[in-house]
Amino acid sequence: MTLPELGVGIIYAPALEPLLEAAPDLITVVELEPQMLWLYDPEEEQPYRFAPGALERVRRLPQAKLVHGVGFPVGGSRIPDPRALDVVNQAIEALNPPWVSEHLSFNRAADASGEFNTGFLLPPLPTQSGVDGAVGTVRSVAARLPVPLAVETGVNYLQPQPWEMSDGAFAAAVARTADCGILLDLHNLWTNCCNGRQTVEEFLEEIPLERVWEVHLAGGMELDGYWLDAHSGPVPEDLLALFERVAPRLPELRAVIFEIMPAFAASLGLDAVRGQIERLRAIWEGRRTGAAYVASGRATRPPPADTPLDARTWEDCLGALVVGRRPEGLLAGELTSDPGVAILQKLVWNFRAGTVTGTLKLTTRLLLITQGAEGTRALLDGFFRSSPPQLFGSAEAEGFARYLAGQKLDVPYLADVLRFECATLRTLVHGRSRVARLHHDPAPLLEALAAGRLPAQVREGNYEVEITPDRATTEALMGQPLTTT
Amino acid sequence: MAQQHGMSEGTRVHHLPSGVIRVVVPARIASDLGRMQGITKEILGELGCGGCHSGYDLRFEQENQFIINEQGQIAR
Repeated sequence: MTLPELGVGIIYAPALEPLLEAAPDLITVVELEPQMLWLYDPEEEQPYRFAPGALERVRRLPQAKLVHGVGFPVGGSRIPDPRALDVVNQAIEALNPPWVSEHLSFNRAADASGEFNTGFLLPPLPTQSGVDGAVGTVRSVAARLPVPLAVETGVNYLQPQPWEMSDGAFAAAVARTADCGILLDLHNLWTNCCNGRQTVEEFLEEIPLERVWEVHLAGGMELDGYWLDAHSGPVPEDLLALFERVAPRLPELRAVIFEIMPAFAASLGLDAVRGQIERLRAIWEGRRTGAAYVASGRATRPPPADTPLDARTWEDCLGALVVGRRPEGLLAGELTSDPGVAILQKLVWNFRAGTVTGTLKLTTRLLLITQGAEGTRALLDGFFRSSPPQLFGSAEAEGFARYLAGQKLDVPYLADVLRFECATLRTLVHGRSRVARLHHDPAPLLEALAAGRLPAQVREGNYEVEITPDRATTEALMGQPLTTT
Repeated sequence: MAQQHGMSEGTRVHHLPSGVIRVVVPARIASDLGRMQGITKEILGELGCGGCHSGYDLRFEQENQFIINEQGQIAR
């Protein structure tokens, strides 16, 4: 199989469009995370769909396209929802990527209450049982795709255990057995190394380098003594130097992608983002002159004796712990003593709080103003304990709105603000007008909250706010581009 | 009413015979209301799945800081 060379690029974000349009010779590929542009309506037989016009907006960019899944990872023992793959295939049909990628991680678990989303991409069980589970999932997903699948090497904040396979041996076993490509995320490996796991060089010695089609690079940040894969800034200089040494050893490398979250791209500035891509392109162009390729994957250490643990037990236990539940048993005890679990719990909590903030902004402001940060955190805590994370922001918002409505809180205007924001969300998700019936004049109320304060005086009465979809809804959904300096 | 408060262009107000005052707001304007002071203008990214990263989400803390700053200004 020969895949085309796509060159150097970046993860798609609407805010980056001016850069993508201005520099097609520098940025020759753009990678879409399709689920970020999806809307979710659980009432529909096919609950997932692209926001209107979103796919076309990506398609018309001058770059070649790649598709990189973020919601339905393939590293666990549970097969992702096949309905989601149907929508991924729409993106493949529209954008014509030579391959697609997904994470060698899991985000589904179950307990007596049923299956739930873990709110975070979690590391699979690093044993033969984990390999078997992941291989089954990779094969199942790959069989439904019209192009080859590559699996991304993931982040693991847990401490390595003596009974584990090494991370490189695990990735190698999955890629070889499932016969798939590898998306080598060097920042993930760098993060793992910083946090006490295998070094990047050791990892590379163990994997079949000829299966690496794509490399991801990013920046991160520190939290509680851990390095986080936060996509929060420029690639660390040492990691760039490492990539320069590694690139010549990747004979089938076809694309290099810089990852940065849109909020951090805004603070870094488009010129700095461009500068990062120029650095990566220089390494890309120079990789042919580096050290000769040496067939790899021969240094894989023999796996340790397998443990009686099975992949499903691991996923259910780790998944329950990170969402704040208290599973029992030996494994739960061992995992709980790993400080990486506390980090994961903190990251899941903050991600959920961020999702609620992003989707119910005025409600969050009203709570912060009237309940203070501690009171708001307590409400979020209560909600998170009562309900597992939702994969889609709109569903998390609906859940929090229901939770608040059931708390009978004495917060002025709360019912009106919740009705308004839920009607807005539903209009955006369903594409149909919604009416919110309010007991206060909406204009002064909502504008005061938008400015971060309570209104001085609001007239009471019978008001209806009709939220309508309009021609500009797509632009509203997609946000505004950043401007260059 | 809505226009008087500068709610935004595209907003219409109807006084219904029942006495109800109906304000018609395009979704674009409604979602902007919550974001005009926010850290992101990308509502779609909020409705869909989170992006591919394993980092620390700052949105709640940034919102809290925004309110603290606003309350400080009001107090002054």
